[in-house]
Amino acid sequence: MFENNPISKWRKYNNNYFLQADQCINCKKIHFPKGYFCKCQSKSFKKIALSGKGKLLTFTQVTSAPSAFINYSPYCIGIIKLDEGIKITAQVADTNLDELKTGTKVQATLRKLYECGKNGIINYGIKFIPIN
Amino acid sequence: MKIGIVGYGAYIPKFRIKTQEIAQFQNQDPHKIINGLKIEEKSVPGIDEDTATISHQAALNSIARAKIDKKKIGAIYIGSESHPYAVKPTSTIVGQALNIGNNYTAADLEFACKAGTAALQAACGLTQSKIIEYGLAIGTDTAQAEPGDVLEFSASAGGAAFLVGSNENEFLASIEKTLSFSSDTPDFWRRNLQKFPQHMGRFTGEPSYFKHVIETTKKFLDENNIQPKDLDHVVFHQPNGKFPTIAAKKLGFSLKQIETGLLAPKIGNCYSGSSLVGLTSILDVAKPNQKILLVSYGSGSGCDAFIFTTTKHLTQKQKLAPTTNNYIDNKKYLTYLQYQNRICTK
Amino acid sequence: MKVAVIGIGCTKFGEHWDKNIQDLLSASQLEAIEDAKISPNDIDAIFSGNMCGGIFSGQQHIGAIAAEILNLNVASSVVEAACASGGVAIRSGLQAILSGLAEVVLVNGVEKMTDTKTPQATTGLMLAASEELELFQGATFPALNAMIAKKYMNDYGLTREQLAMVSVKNHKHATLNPLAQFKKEITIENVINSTMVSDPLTLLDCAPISDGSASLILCSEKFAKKINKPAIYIVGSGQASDSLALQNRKSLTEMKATQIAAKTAYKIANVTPDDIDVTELHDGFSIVEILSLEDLGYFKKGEAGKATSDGKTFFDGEKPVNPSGGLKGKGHPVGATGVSQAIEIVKQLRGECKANQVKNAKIGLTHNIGGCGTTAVVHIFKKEK
Repeated sequence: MFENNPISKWRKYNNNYFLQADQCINCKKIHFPKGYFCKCQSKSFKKIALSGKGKLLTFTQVTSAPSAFINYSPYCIGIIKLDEGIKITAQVADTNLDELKTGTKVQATLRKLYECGKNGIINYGIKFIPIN
Repeated sequence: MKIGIVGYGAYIPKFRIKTQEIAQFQNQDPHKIINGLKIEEKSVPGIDEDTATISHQAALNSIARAKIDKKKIGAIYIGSESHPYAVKPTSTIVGQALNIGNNYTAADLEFACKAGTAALQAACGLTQSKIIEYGLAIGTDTAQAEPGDVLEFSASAGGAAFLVGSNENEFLASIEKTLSFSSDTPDFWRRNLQKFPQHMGRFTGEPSYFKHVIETTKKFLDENNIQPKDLDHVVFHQPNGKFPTIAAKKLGFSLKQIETGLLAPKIGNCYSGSSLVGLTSILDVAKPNQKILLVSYGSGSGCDAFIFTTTKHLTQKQKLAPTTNNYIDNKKYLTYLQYQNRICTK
Repeated sequence: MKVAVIGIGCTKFGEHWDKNIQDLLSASQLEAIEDAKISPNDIDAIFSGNMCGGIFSGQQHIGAIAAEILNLNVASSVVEAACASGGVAIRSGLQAILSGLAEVVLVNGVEKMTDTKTPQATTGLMLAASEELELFQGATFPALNAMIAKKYMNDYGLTREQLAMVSVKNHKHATLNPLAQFKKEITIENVINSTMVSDPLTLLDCAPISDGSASLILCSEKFAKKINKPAIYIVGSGQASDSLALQNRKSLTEMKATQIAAKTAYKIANVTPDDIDVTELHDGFSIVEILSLEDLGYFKKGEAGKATSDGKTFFDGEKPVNPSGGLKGKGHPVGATGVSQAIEIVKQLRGECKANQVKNAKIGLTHNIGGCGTTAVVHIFKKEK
């Protein structure tokens, strides 16, 4: 199944492990996670690090999880607007649904996403935790 | 020895379970347990946390305090009894996640609860000999204990990271001396592929923890002409809140000297992180020119002893990352069932 | 644009434990051919919408199955655009006829989803979303739509009751549709109190997992006149796409792909939103009906909730929407949905519906989306005099 595919995850370790984006060298527009072809027609980008800070635009709780995530459910998930203006879909960790509201400030952190069974690779990625 | 700590950081997961909660499930008298072990509650890792994620956060905090170019980190050593893989290093997962490039050596260490301090010695060796510019040493665990066993009250989660360098101007604390003691002692072990460790009950006290800690400390202080009163802070490995107190008394230290680093009553025993998070909590509040003694203990068995002297650079760096107490105080309690759900792999 | 629909065939939607893809496909294909009163040999090309054949049945390349069932050697291919596969299959059929490459086209939509358990179904459906930005992060379609719902409720004051009314209406309509999966009316309380799936969406806010197949026979105007068959004509078509991941939309509370597809279709058909007498739109989740009512231009932004709770979109209201029961009431075998929407509109325009017949329906619209509005395809149907 497509869950057990360490190569496709390895290819994206840098994007999975920390927040970075491509910035168009011409018009400075930020493309996340990767830039291919900018609206200004440029194909040249440089990597920039993102702060990992943002606010919850919207959120919910997953109770009926995809098979890889069953052991981790229920979990909160949200669309976060990072300080740099980009939006990212990610879980909100260490929290219950009733502790969140639109606008809650959050900070990125590295956490386990799922394991590919008992023998497979462990996938790490970015989640967000609420900060006071 | 021109080697020093240039950055340090801890991380303790948010979740806690109270001793009395576990005691109820073990059908034991909570007061007896709390009095016996001097542990009120312990830290529990989130279901999505492991030694890699905890080490990573502690390392981020140490880099934030060090304010060095992280690409100059030449070694990552992580000591733990709960590395996520039996084969595949935690250190490179952390190295990748820290984005330090590829020019570093790495290895995972194991020596029960002193793997973190062994990592520190290894990092010191490479750094002081100028083979590398900075070394990152981490001690972290998400400790395991069989449900119903006495270790269930203490086995917790946490980690601490230390960046070491050889440029005196960057020292937050110099590492004056280190001394170790090793033996083959069967007090506590875990066989390959077994989920939970075994231990020999009362044998883990006198002939194991106390013999090693006390002998090592005595020899260390003797060799370096240090009196107990010369030390401002002392931290021993803390398998519970009681053992360090007994050791301190036997060695002539006051409770005041050990109190800053004694975290077990509030977070339990995070194994390879245990003495090291005690050290970070001391560094969080230490004043310049204070002397700190750390003696770790790992079953199997051995001790690593260190003397640190804080510098004037420490004060301005303390608040650059969350302090150990910030993590200790940021907590959420679990019920026993929630706790079992988090730590038992399905 | 004028492409005739001369035949329709559709299985019941629901849990067909005893049927596989071939069984479902042959039922709707043969029914459509009979309804059109043509011979299978009249068919020049076949387009079949399907999304999950590979992951749920281990079977892709379904075009070959469709042709083989009818003993044909014609060009036959699969069209995939997630839940918009059926609608895009119709558009592919249109293009074949309008280009002159085909005169008579069989368009299918088929899906077999019930051979699996919920977590696997949830995972399989996420093939329609962004694997790296959404599935990898643990998102599900209920979660993505719940986040849209929460944002919309936040921004426009949509109430939980107004949102629930969408499902109440569509279940009511389903009781009037003999092919529908669900046969029970529900109340607003039922919706709000049903099992929470992803806050605020409950089980009754979400279209079910279903099996089913739907087929159309399309032909050129010339062929329709030749066989003297009263036809319903497709007079407008529009398709558009937007970012794969929801996070990359400019707005989380409208679907640009729907707006563009609808605008294009209206332009080609030379009609306005007000001219549409009956609509089958993509209520995969109750919130999507609310957004689509606005994105199709039926109600102003923020007003679809009130319009729904005021009863305007009941089949006998002023703007009938989803008289078939929609995806929620009728069922949602993913690839089949787009084609089944067209079938309902054709039946409405022919006047063949019984209990849920919209009076004087002359112009109809189908709206079919894939993902969270990543792909949208709109067709406009007209009854010829």
